[in-house]
This record gives sequence, C-alpha cells and structure tokens, in this order.
Amino acid sequence: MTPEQYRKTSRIFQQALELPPHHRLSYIQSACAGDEEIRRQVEAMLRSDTEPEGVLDRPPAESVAKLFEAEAPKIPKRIGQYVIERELGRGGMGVVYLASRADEQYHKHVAIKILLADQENAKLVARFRRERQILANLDHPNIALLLDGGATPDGLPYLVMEYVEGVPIDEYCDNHRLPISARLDLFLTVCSAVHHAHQNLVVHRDLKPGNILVRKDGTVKLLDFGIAKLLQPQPGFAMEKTATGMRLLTPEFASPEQVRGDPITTATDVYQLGIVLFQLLTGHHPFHYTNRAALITMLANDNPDPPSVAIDRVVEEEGPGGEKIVIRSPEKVAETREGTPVKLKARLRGELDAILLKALARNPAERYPSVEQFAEDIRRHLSGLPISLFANNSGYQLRKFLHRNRTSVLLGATAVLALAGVLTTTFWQANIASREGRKAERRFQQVRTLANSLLFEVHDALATQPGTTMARQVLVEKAQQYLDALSAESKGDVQLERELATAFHRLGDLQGNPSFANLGQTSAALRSYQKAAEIRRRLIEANPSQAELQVDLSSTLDALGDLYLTLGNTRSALESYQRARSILEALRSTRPQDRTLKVQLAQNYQSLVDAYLNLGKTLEAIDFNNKALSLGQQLADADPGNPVSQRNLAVAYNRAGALYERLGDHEKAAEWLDRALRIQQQAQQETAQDPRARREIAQTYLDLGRNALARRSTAAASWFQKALVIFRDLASTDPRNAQAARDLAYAEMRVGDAFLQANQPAQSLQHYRQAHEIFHRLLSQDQFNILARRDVGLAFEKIGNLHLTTGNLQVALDSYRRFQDAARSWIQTDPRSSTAKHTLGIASLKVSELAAKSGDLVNAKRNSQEAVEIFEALYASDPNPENGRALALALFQQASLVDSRSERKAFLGRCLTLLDQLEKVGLAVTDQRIRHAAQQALAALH
Amino acid sequence: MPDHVDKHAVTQLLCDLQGGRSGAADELLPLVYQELRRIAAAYMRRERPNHTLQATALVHEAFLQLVDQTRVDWKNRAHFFGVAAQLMRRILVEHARSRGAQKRGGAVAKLSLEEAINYFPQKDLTLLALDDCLKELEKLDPRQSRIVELRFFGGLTTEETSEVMGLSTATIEREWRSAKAWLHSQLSDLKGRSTPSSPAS
Repeated sequence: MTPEQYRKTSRIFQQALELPPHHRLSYIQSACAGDEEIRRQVEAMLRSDTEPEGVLDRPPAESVAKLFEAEAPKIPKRIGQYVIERELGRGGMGVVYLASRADEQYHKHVAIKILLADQENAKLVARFRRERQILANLDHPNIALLLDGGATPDGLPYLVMEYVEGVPIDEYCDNHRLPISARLDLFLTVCSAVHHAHQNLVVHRDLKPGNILVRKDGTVKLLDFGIAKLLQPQPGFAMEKTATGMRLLTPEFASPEQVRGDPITTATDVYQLGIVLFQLLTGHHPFHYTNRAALITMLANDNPDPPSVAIDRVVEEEGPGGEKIVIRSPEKVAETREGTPVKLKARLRGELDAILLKALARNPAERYPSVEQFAEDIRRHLSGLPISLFANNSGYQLRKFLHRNRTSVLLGATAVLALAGVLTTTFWQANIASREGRKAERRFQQVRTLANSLLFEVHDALATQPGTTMARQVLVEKAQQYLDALSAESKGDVQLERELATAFHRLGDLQGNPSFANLGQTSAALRSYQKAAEIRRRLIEANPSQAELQVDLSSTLDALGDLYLTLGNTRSALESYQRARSILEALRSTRPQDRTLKVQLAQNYQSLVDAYLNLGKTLEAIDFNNKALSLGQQLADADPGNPVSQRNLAVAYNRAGALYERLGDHEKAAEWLDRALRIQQQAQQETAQDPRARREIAQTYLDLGRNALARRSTAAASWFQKALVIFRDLASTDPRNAQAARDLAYAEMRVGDAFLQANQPAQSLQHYRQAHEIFHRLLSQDQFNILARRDVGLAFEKIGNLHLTTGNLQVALDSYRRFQDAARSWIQTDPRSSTAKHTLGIASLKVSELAAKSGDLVNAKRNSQEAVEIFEALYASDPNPENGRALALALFQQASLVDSRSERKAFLGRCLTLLDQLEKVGLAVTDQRIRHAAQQALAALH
Repeated sequence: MPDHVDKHAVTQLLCDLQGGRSGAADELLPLVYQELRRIAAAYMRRERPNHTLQATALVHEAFLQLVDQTRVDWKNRAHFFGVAAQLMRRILVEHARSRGAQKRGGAVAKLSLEEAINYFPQKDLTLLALDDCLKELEKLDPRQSRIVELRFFGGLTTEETSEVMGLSTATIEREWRSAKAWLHSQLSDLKGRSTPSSPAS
C-alpha cells in the first residue's frame, strides 16, 4: 500500500463513519470504485471499529513505574543476609563496603563490592559479571574467598568477599624487619596463589603490594581480581582497549606491554610480581624515576637497575619547611633487612640480581615462561641449588656443588668421588657405543634383545593390566634409549631400524594417542610418530618390495591421523588416513585373505568415519562405517574364539549406533547399541581385568544412556551410573592416564545431565564441576590439545544450562560465553571442522537467548545472526537433521529479535519451510515444538 | 547529585529545538529520559509499591519538573511531549521484548538441543507487533502515527494532543479513530479478538 492509497482508505473510512450504518457498505462500494484492496481494508477497519476494546484502548502497561525499577541505583542498608556497616573504599569498579551477616549471633565481617555504574554501562556490568564467575573458580587459601554474589533488588550486581584485615605485604615485611630469606618465603606464597589463578586462565593484571595483604597471623591474601582478564580471547566481549585498561591500572606497577597496549598474558603478572619482589628486597622501584611520565619512557626503553645496585639510591623529599628529608638510603633499607648495606648488597648480588632481571625483562618472551618457574628459581636459590638461569655454566655448577656439600667436602673423599661421578657419567655414556670387538658385538645383541623384550612382551603384558600407563612409559622410553644408542651403530640394518620405528610409534601411543591409554602429551606424541614415520619411509625407499614395511607405515599414518584430529587439524588427519587406506587397499588386492591387513583396514575405516563425521560429511561416514562393519564381521566369523576380534566388532556396532543417533533414528541406534553390548558382555567374562575391554563396555553404557535420554526414557540415569562406576575405577587405578580421566569426565557430565533432567540441580552441579575440573586439568597439561579445549567448553555449556534452569541468568550467560570462546578457538585451529562450527552455532544461540533475556538486544541479535549464518552453511553442505533442526531454531530465534515485521515474517516462514523440507525427505524431527512456536508467532503477525 | 535536571537548560533546549538548532534534540533526549526514570524510581520508593503509575501522569510530571512554564508556548510543549512519548514507546517496547524472561525465571530442566526451544521466552507479542505496525503507519501517514504515539504511548488526551499538534480536536478524534481501526485490523489480537485478519499482503 502506498501513502496515497492509505490516505484514500482513511478518507473513505472516515466518511463512511459519518453515514448511518446501513448506508455504509453501498457508499464504500461506490467510493472504492473497483479497488478491491482498499475496499477490503476499509471493511476490515469498520469491523475493528465496532469491536468493544482493542489493544490501543487500554494503557500500554499496568504501571510504567515498574519499567524503571531496574534502572534506579541506590545503596541498600542490607544486601541479602548482610548488613552494611561502612564504606571501605572506592575504586574504578564500584564501592566496597564492610558488612556482617545479619542472621548470626557472632559477627563475621565480609567485604561487599557493589557496582555503581548505570545498567546502561554494559561494559562495566560485563566486566563485573566476569569477575564474579572467575572468583568463584579461584579456590585457594591465599586468594580472598568469594562467599556470595547476586544482584540487589535494584539489579546492581554485587560480590561478597572474605574481608581481609591486614597490611600490604611491603609494610608487613618492614614492620617485622624480615630478612631477605623470610621475604622470599613470603613471596613464594604469593607466587603459588598467582600460579593457581594462571592455571584457571586468569591473569591478575594489577598485582601490587596494596593488593597483597598479610594478616596478623602471617597469612597472605591476594585481593581484587577486579580487572582480571581471561587468558582466552573474548571476542564476544569486545575487550576494552588500553585506554580503559590504563584507567584501572596503577602506573607504578604497569608492565611495558600494558603501557604499549600489547596483549596481556601471564607474563604481565610475572613482570608485576618482579616489581613487587624488587620492592620487598630493595625498598625501591626497579626504575629510578622522577615522575610518571619519565617512568613510562623508561619502561619502554630502559632496563631496570639490578637490585644490588638499586639499594645505593638515596631518595629525598621536601619537608614542610622546604628542607630535604632523606626517606630512603642504603642504610635505611638495610636496617629493616640484612642489617648493613654491605651485607644486603652481598645477599642480592648474583643470583637474586639475575632472577629479578629475568622476571623484569622488557620483552615478555624473555621473562620466566611461568610464575611457577620464577618461584622454582627462588626456591632453588633458597636451598642452595643451581638456579635455572646459570644451568649451562659449568664453573657455576661446580661452585654450587661445592657450596652445597661444604661439610662433606671437608670431611673426606666421598663427596669428591660423587663429584667425579657426576662429571664422568656422560663422557662414559658417549663412548660406550663406539667400542669395538666381539665383546661389544655381544653386548649389542644383548641390549637389543632386552629392548625388544621390554618393548613387545613386557609392554603388551602390562597393557592388559589396569593402572600401568606410567610404568609402560618408563619402559618404552628406556627401550627407546637403548635402541637409539644402538641405531647410531647400525645404519642400514633394516630389522633394527624397524624396531626403532616401532619404539617411537609405541612411545607416541603412550604419550598422547586419544585412542589408547595415554599421558596427555599431544605435542610429544606427534613428534614421536613423525620420527617413526620418517624412519619407516626411509626403509620403504630402500626396500620397496617388503610388504610388512608398508603395513608398518600405514599404522603410523593412522596414528598420525588420530593426533592431527586431537590437534584440530582435520585436513591433515584425513590426508593421513587416506594415505594409509590406499597403501592397505593396494596390498589387500594382492592378498585378500591376509588377516593383519583386514584388521588394519577395519581400523583405518573406523578412523575415516571419525574424520568424515568431523568434516560434516555424514554420507561418507556411513559408507566407511559399512565397510568397517563388514570387515569386522568377517574377522569375527573367521575367529569366533578371539576376544579381540569380537571386541572390535562390538566397537563397530557401537559406532553404527552413534551414526543412527546423529541421523535422528533413536530406535535403530538402540538396536545397534544392544548388539554391541551383548558381544561385550560375553567377551567380558574372558577379559574381566583388561582395562581396554572394560572401557569399551562402559562406553556402550554411556551411549545407551544418551540414547535413553534422547528417547526421554528414565533408564538413562542407571546406564550413566553404571558407566561412571567403571570409569571411576579405571581413572583411579591409572591416575596418569589422560584417556581414562577424559572418559571419567564425560561420564560425570552425563550423570549431571541425568540429574538435571530429574530436576535435581544441586547434584547435577556437583557432577558438572567434577567434569569441568578434570577437563581443565587435562587442558592445562596439554595446551595444544584442541579437543581438551573443546571439552572445557562443553563443561561450561552444561554449567550454563544448569544455571539457566535455576534462574541464575548472569552466571549462565557467562558460562555460555566461555563455551562460545572455546568453540571459537577450536574453529581458529581447525577451520574445516564442521563439528566445531556446529558447536559455535549452538553456543551463539545460547548466548543470544541469554542476552535477550537480560535485555541486551544488540548482542542477542548479533549472536543469533551468527548462528543463522553458521547453520545455513552447515545445512547447505550437510543436510542432516541435526543441522536442520539447529538452523530452524536459529531462524526462530532470529525472528524474535529482528525489528521489522516483514523480516520477522520472513524468518518464521523460512523456519517453517525448513521443517517441512526435513520431514519430506524423511529426516525425523522428533520435536514438534519448534513448529508450533513458529506457527503461533506467525499467526500473531497477521 | 542535584535534585533533578536544571529547568533552565531544558527550557532553553526546547526553544533551541524550535529555533531549528541541530543537536538540540540529541541533548534533550537523555535529560527527559533521566527525569522520567527519576520520577518513576521515586514512585517505587515512596509510594505504595503496587500503586500504578500511568504514562500520562509520568510524562506530565516530568514536564512540570523540567520546563519553566512561564517561558514556553504550545510549540515547546509539543516538542517536549513528542520526545517523551517517543521515549515511553521505546521503553515499553524494549520492556516487552525482555519480559518473557522475568516471567519464566525458574523454568524446568532442559538438556538437549531439541529441547532448547523451550528456553525461548514468550515475548509480549502484542506490543511488539503493534510497534511493527506503527512503523509501517509512519511511512503511510506520519501524522497519524504521531497521534498514536502521543495518545497511546505518551498517554495524552484528545485535547492535549490537539494542543501539542496544533490541530483541532475534531481532526485528532477523526485521525485517531482511523489509525486505531487500521492498526487493530492489522493486529490479530492475541487476547481473543475474533476479527479475521486482512488477507496477507
């Protein structure tokens, strides 16, 4: 309708109203003169006009005052159970009050921090919310406890923290005239707290004596993780740039990168800890500056004075009468430390100078890589061991040795012998391999036999025993050392080199192959596999006709593929698997009945299933799974008494179940899982102790539980519990095994799901927390493991779901954002992974929804837009029901957020069309609620 | 903080606005918003908490508080009420957008993606749909849309609207009735209105 047509409609309507009702219709007929659209519109308007009461006849809201409710900041006298007593201080973030519990007889004091900023100030609110979640995670005796948190009736977020009555650490040291060693001890406690925060991916960014208090009883407490920034990038948050960062910063404790506006990392805390320690030891700032502007220039260009030099400074201030007063001098700083300037200087010179200059390096990459290493050197210094910085200096090592063993050196020869031992071992080891003669030859063979026995017999025997991951690692490493030494001797000896490659391959398995019990060292595993592959390629080049060498290479390629998947490099994983496949298929064409080949190939096909699933190519995945199934069936039929063949077949059944689950066919999935379970239960009788067999059966329990959950069956909880019992046992008997830990965490998560479904959020949270803790530990041990990063993200999703159900929206949003961050970094590492994209899409949807709930429509819209784009692309390349349903959801969410009516209509329309499409091609969408909601919303628009 | 915004400043801004100074509207908006909020908050604090405060009362009180009555004529009034009604509309619509969440704070347990659908709040669709239609009306007939904004969102009477817009009360009545009929015909009222909607355009 054009404005002209509208004016005409309005005019005819108004004139019709002037007429008596029974004349109106005929008037309209003639006035509209054949324009049907206008006529229909006028008639509709007349009908509306006669309706008793429409939307516009009532006030738009019952009381508008309530609309502003959340927007009127005021400080209550009481918050939750706490009565506010007085203000403790004000900072960039808000006001801190001293308060005490109102409902208890004895008065326990707490500090309550309230954000004063307007609700409109979204950045501050976001930062504050972040702090709340971070602090809740930081449970450490030297970090001020977070007791509670919430929002005031006015909607102001607040934190209740342990109230720490103490003095800043530098004052404390001076008041107690602590000598250098005691100061270092105290400082080590600070390091342990900061290290703990770093393990939780939290950087403090504002470490200074004022934030490190010591209580009367000597306990150190770190305060105020107020501007803590998560180590992970936070694209959703639009992190404040340096300008704001600087506003909250104390310039005297800034690091060069903070001044430059460069990224802030754990190295920033190392630097700030360096400043704190510098001051504790010398009483001075590392830089001798006159004003802040000068300091900033020095930070960017100069190196600090060594502590032993800084103590020579004399600092004067002008007194009230203009006279100079010396506030710091060598004598004054020595007085509260080692007594005299000479003693203090001697104490600082050398190691402590070196340690501090390392911590205070201008370039973050040149500092200690972690607080832990910083602390370790201080500990070594305190116990007289060589510090890491001088490790390559043999004169220094010798001096240290003699100093440490001063007493025994005086007593006699023992220590001298020990020293000689230290110095000659390497020399001796280096020479042993080059000895000649028959004796050496015999020894060579003995060592080789031993190494092989360790590598194959002993290793394989251990592998079936629970809890032996660690022992196996020692074993394989030892064997490899022997073989390494031998291999220098034996270039060209095919058999020996083959053994060496096998040793590297097995070492890789143990270090980090997710398909086996492993130590969670992904990068080390990759290197071992690469070495193995290199040797094997060389051998094939020299001996192209030996088939077993090719089989060897294919198995290493498969293992490399597993590793690439773990590292988030799906493209290389697929390449490796496909190369292995073409080797194996070529060999098989000449020897179709070779059992080893079949076993390898079945394994390879299953790996390809995983890779294709990850790439979002469901059809290819189904194809390879069928191949794996048929090979597995052949092998099991040919050798019905072999429990390993039976187990492998069960695993193939299990995967088939997972595939059907993905296709939305829960009934079929259940059938396959039942078949897998039957085989596994039978095989279990023969291999009751084998941790691998137990793991596989527990996996099936988990899958059956998930299947039950999807079918809304109450059996889910008991399946999950059964799996949990096994995984707990496996993890506790083999504590170094990362696979077992990861399995356990997944089981914990599932049990949490079941509790949540049964409406028992408290139990659910316990299990989710367990899962999160394990995932987190695994990630911190293995930072490059992108799947570990994803796992941490998944735990956050679960925790977010839980807080959403309990109505704790802020925490839920925060959790979802972390989930989203994990998904983003996953995609950054593995841009081709469609699983990663799917995960990000889900995360964005959840963030969108939560943002909408908390009234942040800009973010809500941006995130749902992102989800729509992701799922559109995924559905276009892989139209499986999971992607379809997700897209429908995203479209629905987007519809609720767009501004214009026509856009809203369009999104709802697309949502419904998509659901129709999915149904037409027979991809089951079990849940009709999306459709109903969309239809309802669409009807409301007409 | 001073009790409230400086009367002189707001009055001056209104005069500037009428004099055509660009930017005056941008400066006025936050001041009016702040005052609306202040009055509303005072209501919540002082009065019986369940007492209903209507948009009409709110906007009028803000006008009295903010504007030096001796210095303004009807055109200044028009500007003021125009701005206030616009703000009320924005606040009401945004409130409607997020309202579902407050009603459904303690929803039942949900887990899987399929069930995520339940998370989505039931928006107050009537007000949102009305806002959409009003945007359309603005394109078709800006004057009618302004009348709706003043009367419905700003809570002004026919007389006040006529005064603010400089039109006769008869015209206001006629245009209001027409706009209302059109909007109602566009809206399929969720609360049981039986009027069949016009065929989809």
